[in-house]
Amino acid sequence: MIVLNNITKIYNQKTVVRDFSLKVNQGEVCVIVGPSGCGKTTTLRMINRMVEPSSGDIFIDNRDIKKIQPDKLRRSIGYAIQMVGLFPHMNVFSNIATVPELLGWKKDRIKARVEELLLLVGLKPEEYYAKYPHQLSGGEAQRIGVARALAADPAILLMDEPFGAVDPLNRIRLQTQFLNIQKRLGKTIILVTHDLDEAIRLADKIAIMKDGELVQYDNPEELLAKPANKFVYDFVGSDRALKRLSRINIDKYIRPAPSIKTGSSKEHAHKMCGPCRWIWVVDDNNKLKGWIDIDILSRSVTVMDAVSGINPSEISVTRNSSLKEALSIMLDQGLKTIPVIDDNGFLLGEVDMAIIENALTEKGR
Amino acid sequence: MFLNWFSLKPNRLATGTGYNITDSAGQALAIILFVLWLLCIISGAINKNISSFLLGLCANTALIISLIIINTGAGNLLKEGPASARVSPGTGIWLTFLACYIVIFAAARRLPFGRKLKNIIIWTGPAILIIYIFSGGFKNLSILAEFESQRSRFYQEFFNHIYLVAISVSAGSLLGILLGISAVVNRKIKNVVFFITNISQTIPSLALFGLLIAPLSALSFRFAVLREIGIKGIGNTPAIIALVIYSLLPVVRNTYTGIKQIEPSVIDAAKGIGMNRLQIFRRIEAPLAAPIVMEGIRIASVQSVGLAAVAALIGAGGLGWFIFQGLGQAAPDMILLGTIPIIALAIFTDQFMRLIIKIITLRQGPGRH
Repeated sequence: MIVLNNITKIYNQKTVVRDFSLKVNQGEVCVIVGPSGCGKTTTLRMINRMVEPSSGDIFIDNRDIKKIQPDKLRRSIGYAIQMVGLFPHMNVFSNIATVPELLGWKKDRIKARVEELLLLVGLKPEEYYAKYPHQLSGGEAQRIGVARALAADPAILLMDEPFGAVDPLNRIRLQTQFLNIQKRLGKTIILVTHDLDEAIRLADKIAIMKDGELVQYDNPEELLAKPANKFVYDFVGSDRALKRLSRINIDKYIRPAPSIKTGSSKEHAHKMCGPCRWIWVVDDNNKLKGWIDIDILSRSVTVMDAVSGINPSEISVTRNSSLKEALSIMLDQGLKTIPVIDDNGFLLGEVDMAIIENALTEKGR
Repeated sequence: MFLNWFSLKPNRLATGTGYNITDSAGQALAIILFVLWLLCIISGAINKNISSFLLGLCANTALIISLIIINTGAGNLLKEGPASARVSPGTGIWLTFLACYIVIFAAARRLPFGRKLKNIIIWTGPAILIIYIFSGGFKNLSILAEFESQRSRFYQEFFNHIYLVAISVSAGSLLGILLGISAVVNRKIKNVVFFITNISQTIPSLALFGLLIAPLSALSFRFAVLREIGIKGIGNTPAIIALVIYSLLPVVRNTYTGIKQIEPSVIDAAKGIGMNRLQIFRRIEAPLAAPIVMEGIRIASVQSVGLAAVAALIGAGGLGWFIFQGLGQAAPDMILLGTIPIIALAIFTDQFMRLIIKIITLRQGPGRH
C-alpha cells in the first residue's frame, strides 16, 4: 500500500505539486492523468525519491520512505519511463539483469529470471538475449524496459508514460499485454499518462491532476459518471458516455438467444422466427453461422440457403469485449441486436440496444 | 624516369650535381624499369580483372626495381667520388615512388578482391621498403650514411622522444580525465578549466617552452630538493610540463563531451532502478564515454609526437635534436634523419590508437557507431 500525505513540491519558488494526498491499495493500478505540466511526473518521481518533496510524507507499507536509503528503495520499486533508457552499450540480457546483479543474485538465478521475464513480455529469449538496444523496434525496447523494471520482482511498479513513444496500434497491443501481465502478477502500479483513454483502459483508480493539485480520485466508472467539476467534465470530454461503455464488460449483460440448427426444416424455422421475423442460425456444434430473415426464408428452398452471407465474426463480439465494442459493431453493421460468441465461435447469447441503454443509466445514477 | 635520380655532393654540406639512371645504375636497369612502365600503361588501358592484377604486379615490381637502382646507382656514384662524398635521392626517385603508388591504388580499387587482398597489394611496397632499409639496402645513400655515423645518438634520441611523449601524454590524460569529470560535476570548474586549456592551446609551442624556463630555474634555485630530483629550467622537466599542458585540451574536452553526450534518459533509468552515483559512473558513464575519451588521447598523442620535436630547443633532446642540428649546420640529410622517424612515429601512434578505439567500440555491441 502506498500513501502520500499532503505532499508539496516547490521548485524555485514555484509550486509544482500542492498538498497532494493519495492512497493506492495493494495490487491496484492507479493512473495519474492530467495535462502536461500538471505535476504528475514530479509526483511519481517523489515515490522512489528521484525527487524529494518540500513537505509531506510518503509511506510504503507503513514505512516512511525518508528512512529508507534511496538506492535500496529504488531497487525494491520497478521504474519504467517513456524514453525507456535502455543502456546502449549492454545487450538485452545485461540490461534486464542489471538490478538482480546489483542485488547480488547468483548467475543461474539471474539467467532463469531473465528468460522468464522475456517470455512474460512476449519475446523469444534466445532471439533477444544478444541483441543491442539500437537493434530493437520502439515496441520491443519498451517491453524490454518493462522487463528490466520487473527484474527483481518488485511489489511496486512506477511507470511514466510507458506507452507514450509507441505508435497507436502497438500502444493498444502493449496495453492489452500490460493488463494480461497485471492480471497474473497483481503488482501495485502507479502509472502516469496524459492520455485519458489509456487511463480508462488500464486503471482501477484514476487520479486527475491540474496545476499540481488532485482534482478527483475515483474508479473510472464513477469518474465518468460523476465528474467532480467543470475541469474534469471538460477533460473527460463530451464522449464520456462512450468512454464509460468501454469500461463495462459485456459478460454480465448477455441474454439467452433463440437459435435454430442449419439442418432444421423450413416450417420449424418459420415457427421459431415468430414475431421478430428473424433468428440466429448455428450448426450442430452450436457454432454461429449467421441469421435468417423470414422474408428471405420464404423465397428459399432450404434453411441453409437463407442464411445471411456475412462472415459471423464480423457481426459478433466475444464475451471479453466491452459494451463500446458491441455498440460500435452494431452501428457499423446496422444491427439492432448483436450475438456474443466464445473463443471457439459458439453462440453464447445476444445483446441489444435496449440492454446497452439500461447499462448506461444503471451505472450512471 | 629521365629526371635526376641522384645528387652527388663532394661532402655533406656542399651542393650537388644531378645524375639520371643510365649515368648511375647502368642501362640494363633503366630498360627494365622502362618496360615495366610500358606494361603498366598497356594493362591500365585495358579494364579487365587480369590486366588490373598485372597492373598491381608491375607497379610493385617497378617499386622493387627502383629500390635496386637506388642502391646500385648510389654505390657506383660513390666509387667515383672522394671518400667524403654523399649521395642523396633526387626528384626522379620521389616521382617514381609517387607514380608507383598512384598505379598501385588504382589497381587495388579496380580489383574485385576483398579488403584483405587489396591491403596486401597496397602494403607490399612499404613492407619491402622497410625490410630493404633494415638489411642495409640503402647504405650508400646519404641519409643512411648520416644514420651510420650517428647510430648510437639516433637510438638514444629516438627512445628519448618516445619517453617524452609517453610520460607527458599519460600524465596529461590522467589529469585531463580528472579535470573533464570535475567539469561535468561542477559548472564553475568547467568554465575555469575550459578557459585555461583553451588559452594554453593558443600559446605558440616555442613560447611556452621558453616561458617555462624562467619560473622552473627560479624554483630549482630556491629549493635544493627540486634540484636533486632533476627539476631544472632546461631539459626534460619544462618539456614534459609543456607537453602535458598541450595534451590537456583534447582530453578534457573529449571527456566532458563524452559524458555529456549520454542520453539523459539512460542516466535517469540507471538512477531509477537503484544505481548509486559510483555505480552509474562505473557501469554507464565510463564505458559510454570511453571511446570519445580515447579519441581525445589519440589526438593528444599524435600532436605530442610532433610537438616534442620542438622540445630539443630547450635541451630536452628527442628526434628534434637532429632537426635543429641539421638546421644549424645546413645539413638537409640530418634534418631528414629527425623528420622521417617523427612522421613514422606519428602515423604509427595514430593507427595504434585507432585500433584500440575500434576494439573498445566493438566490445560495446556491433554497428552502433
